[in-house]
Amino acid sequence: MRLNELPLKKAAVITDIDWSALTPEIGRRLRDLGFHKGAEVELKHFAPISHDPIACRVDRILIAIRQSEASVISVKAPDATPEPALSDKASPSLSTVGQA
Amino acid sequence: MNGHCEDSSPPTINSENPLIAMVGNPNTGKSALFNALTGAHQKVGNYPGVTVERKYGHMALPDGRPVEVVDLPGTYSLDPGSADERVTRDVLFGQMPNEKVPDILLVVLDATNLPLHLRFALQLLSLKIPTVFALNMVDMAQRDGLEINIELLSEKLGAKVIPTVAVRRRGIEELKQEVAHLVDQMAVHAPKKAENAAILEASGTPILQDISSYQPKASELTKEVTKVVHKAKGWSQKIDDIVLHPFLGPIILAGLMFFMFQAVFAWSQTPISWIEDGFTALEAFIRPLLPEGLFRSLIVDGVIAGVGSVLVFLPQILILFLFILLLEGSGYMVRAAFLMDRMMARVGLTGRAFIPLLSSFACAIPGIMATRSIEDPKSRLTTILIAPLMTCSARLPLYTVIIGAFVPDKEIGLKIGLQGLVMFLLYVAGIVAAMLVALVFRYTLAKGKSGLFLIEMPRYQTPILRDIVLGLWQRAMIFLKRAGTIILTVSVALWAVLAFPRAPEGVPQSEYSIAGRVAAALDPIMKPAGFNHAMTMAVIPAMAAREVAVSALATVYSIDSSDEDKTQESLIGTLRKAWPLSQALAFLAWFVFAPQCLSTIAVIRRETNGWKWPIFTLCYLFTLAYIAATIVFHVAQMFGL
Ligand SMILES: Nc1nc2c(ncn2[C@@H]2O[C@H](COP(=O)(O)OP(=O)(O)OP(=O)(O)O)[C@@H](O)[C@H]2O)c(=O)[nH]1
Ligand SMILES: [Mg+2]
Repeated sequence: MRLNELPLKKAAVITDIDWSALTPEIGRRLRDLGFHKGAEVELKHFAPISHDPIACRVDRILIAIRQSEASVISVKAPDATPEPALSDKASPSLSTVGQA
Repeated sequence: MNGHCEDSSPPTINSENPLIAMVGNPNTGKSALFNALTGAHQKVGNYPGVTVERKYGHMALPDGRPVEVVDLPGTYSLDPGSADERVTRDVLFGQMPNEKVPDILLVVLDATNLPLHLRFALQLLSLKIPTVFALNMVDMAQRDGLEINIELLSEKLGAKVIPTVAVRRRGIEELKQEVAHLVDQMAVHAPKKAENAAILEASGTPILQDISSYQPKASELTKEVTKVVHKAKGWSQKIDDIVLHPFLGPIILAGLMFFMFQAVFAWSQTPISWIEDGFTALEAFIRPLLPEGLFRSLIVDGVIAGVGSVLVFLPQILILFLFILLLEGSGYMVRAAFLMDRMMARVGLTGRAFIPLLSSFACAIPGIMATRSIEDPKSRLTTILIAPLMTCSARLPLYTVIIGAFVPDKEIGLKIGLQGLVMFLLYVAGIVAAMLVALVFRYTLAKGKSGLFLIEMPRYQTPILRDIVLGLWQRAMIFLKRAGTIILTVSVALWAVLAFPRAPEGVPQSEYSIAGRVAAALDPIMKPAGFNHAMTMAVIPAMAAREVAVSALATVYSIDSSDEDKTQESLIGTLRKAWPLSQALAFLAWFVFAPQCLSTIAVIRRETNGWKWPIFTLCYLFTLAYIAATIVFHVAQMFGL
């Protein structure tokens, strides 16, 4: 699943980022803002009408990103916990789950 | 010459003293901390990219020794992605010609967001410059239920970490003490520092690892030092659920904008009339004290009528700034950018550009500076070129005078005044024009994709009262200074060219004067655009500053009227009688476009490194102004106005 296809307010983890689909500048900005394999993400808001851009939480910060960039980010919902309880807040410990 | 703006300050520092550089991610509170340390009044705001230029200040260590501090633009890494971030890199690597390389780094971390901020901290440590960390926003971390083990973090980083709350000046003394400690050590390890500088010099820039290579370590470190005590309240999230709601969000944004521009007009009327009464009283007081003649004319027609007519607008300008400061301080700016991104993309810009453009409602100069945080150079250039089309506060006096004279003061229901509505429409006219121009530029001069919209949305903050009051105070002082310098000088100069040569009995002085003859000579050009002589005489000196248009009109009409008229007739009343509506509208149309501000042109030159774009801006905006005034004039005449 891609980041922009996530259901609203369900936490997921970044499994892959297709850097080759991005220009070096955009890639750098994504890295700057903390997009990395294993980061915890959660789709929070859609912009009006076109649903573009979107706002998503990455680890502990909220980031505005356009659909075109979000669509190169693959995510996976953590299988164990589908209930909404987890979706609420970022616990910093979760952010390293994917790397372990 | 930039009466209006925060300029890129050339360092006024003593290079003998140690230099401390404030570095860190955007929006961590570097400037707030800088202000607390140095007593400076740098702009603080709750969005990334507030500081776009280096700023120097002095600080005394606890034992009284002086050190210099430089506040830098926030950046995510030492590999810059935009013009403001380049400033930081260049200062750190000694690539600013004739400027000192920092001796000590004061790295500011946001305690609520360590995984991201520790990456940069680790990269900075690899520079091997003596470093102290300020763990800022510990108040927010506490509220979010995060407990951070400061000792452990210090130990792991190998440098002292001081918890701070910049906005409440907590931890400042401790920070100074640690800086003093590092300064002492510097004296001992002087050779080591020289070695470091030599490495920098030899290699140009040190070879750095990619910022994301620090991520695993940063994440792990965060995990080690942070304990989650309770869940965050998430009220920022709750506000966003409303403010970014797909349906409510745009309505709230549009409502806010409408309210803001309406308030600028509506709320200011009472205080404006107080100041007006003050000047009338002043004039009535001074007139009998001075003997009839040229000197009285200089004081009454030149100084009081000229400067007074502009000073009256201080309340309006402050109300506008109050709104902008609240938007900037709360964190709403980035939300507005988010909501606007799609629309901006239609004309080839991004939501990022919304932030500098909104600042340009205050003044185009800081707005143009703020474009440094736009990553894509072509989007940035386009934003710079259209920023002068945003209705800046210097246009308010003129708009208000013309509206006051020609738009009836009545309500059109819902407590919305017609005059306020016209003011709002003038703002809209500027915005629409800017968007159309951007569209054209993006298909011609600055071709390219619409650039990148990728931005951090900070948590909401209650704007700090002190920052707001200070911001308003600074703005008031700038305005008063402008009135006392540029506007006064130009008013007096204009009075001089209006007062000489003295007209014989029965001939209007303004027509007979040098200024009148110049205006008459320009008639063939300006008449088709609907300009009468008074308008032409006002437009030329208004090149120095737009407000001068008002003071110039006041002086022109003051110099022609007899002494008895003067006390009875305000500028608004005079204009109402002297101009047909078609001319007034043409004059407004002119000022929506005309680039009547030398400081703006100077800043465009600096930000684009050359004369090409400022000259282009002058040409295209004057052309548009002329065309717009001509069309408006002739259409209005067709309707018999
Ligand atoms: N709660 C809290 N807010 C703070 C603290 N320090 C700064 N702020 C707020 O954080 C926001 C950012 O502060 P700035 O000083 O402008 O941040 P900066 O690091 O200079 O930002 P840039 O210049 O954009 O890189 C402002 O809204 C400040 O009022 C703090 O210790 N606690
Ligand atoms: Mg700053």
